[in-house]
Amino acid sequence: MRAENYLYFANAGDNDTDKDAAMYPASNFRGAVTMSSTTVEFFFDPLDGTGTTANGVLLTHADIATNATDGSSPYADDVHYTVMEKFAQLASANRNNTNNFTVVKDLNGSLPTNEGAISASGLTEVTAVAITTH
Amino acid sequence: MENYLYFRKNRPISASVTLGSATQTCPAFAVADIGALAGNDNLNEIAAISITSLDGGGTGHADVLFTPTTIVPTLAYSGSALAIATGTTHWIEPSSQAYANGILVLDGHGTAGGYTLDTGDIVTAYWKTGLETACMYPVSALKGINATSDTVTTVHFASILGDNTDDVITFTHTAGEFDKICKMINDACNAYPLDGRMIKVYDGHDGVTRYLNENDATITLMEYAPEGGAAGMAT
Repeated sequence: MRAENYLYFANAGDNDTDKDAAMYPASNFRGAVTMSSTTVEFFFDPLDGTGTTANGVLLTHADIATNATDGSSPYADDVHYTVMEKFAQLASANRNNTNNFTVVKDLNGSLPTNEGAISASGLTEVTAVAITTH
Repeated sequence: MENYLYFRKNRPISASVTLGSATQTCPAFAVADIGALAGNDNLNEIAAISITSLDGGGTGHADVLFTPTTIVPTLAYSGSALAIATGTTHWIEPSSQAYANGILVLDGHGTAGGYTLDTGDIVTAYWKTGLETACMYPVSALKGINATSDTVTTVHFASILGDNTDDVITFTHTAGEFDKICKMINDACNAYPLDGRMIKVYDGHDGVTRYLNENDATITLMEYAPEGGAAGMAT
């Protein structure tokens, strides 16, 4: 059996509403693109089987640009790169003898009573999660 | 486990244009600075816009003049109209302007955030990362690399959308550098065979070009064309 890594995302909801949380096999990852200076979206195979509209997880981080008026670089902080790099590390982190359940980001602060707590909160650079499914 | 290939477009810290006439439509930025003009229309990539006045104009050129000391993350634009003096530089908020195909069109004074331009004024944009400026693909999505001429190389990936059209990164470079681009990507694909990491293949931001393993392919332009464009990818 091939070891597979599963990537978990949850927004600040309570896991009781559509698109509050999602989990994808790492092998379903298609690519990531910066969408603005504060967001990067990760795309996965859609769940509807059509394969033609990717599911997206939009992660928000600090603005990468800083002061440019003094002639210094506007790219003082490449946090989008950090988020991508850490995602890649998590996606490749599957090891034998682990459950390979990998929390990329969990912002949920109030789980339903019948759900156990997830011990990891994921990437510290991510401040918001928006999930789109198809 | 596999590696992930990271690319980031060429972008200078800033680029300037000088007005040849009194118009609100600025001359196009240079392709060498911002990449292809067609489709370069993302205001999100512009951190700030400054205007250096050739001959002043007083308050007749700006109803609202912005003079921030820092641009971001703390936007501190003033709402007070100030007189524009000869040779002075002032700042306007990018989100109040229009940008399409590499051309800025500024609101004139009379519109909130506007500034009436004059012949000889210099408009400077400062770039940051925005829509489709940087991307990352798993190695398994790589479909191939093609030399379309001696100075242009295209790298094809399986579409993020999933239709039949590839996502394509196009590099323009000095003649004969195709092999260096192939070597960079090969090195990235096969690095860390027991691990799996994100590998920075090419990064042209900040006016500096960075190549994996110093394979200087003298890339002058990187264009990124995901299938369907951003609108098709945005969910």
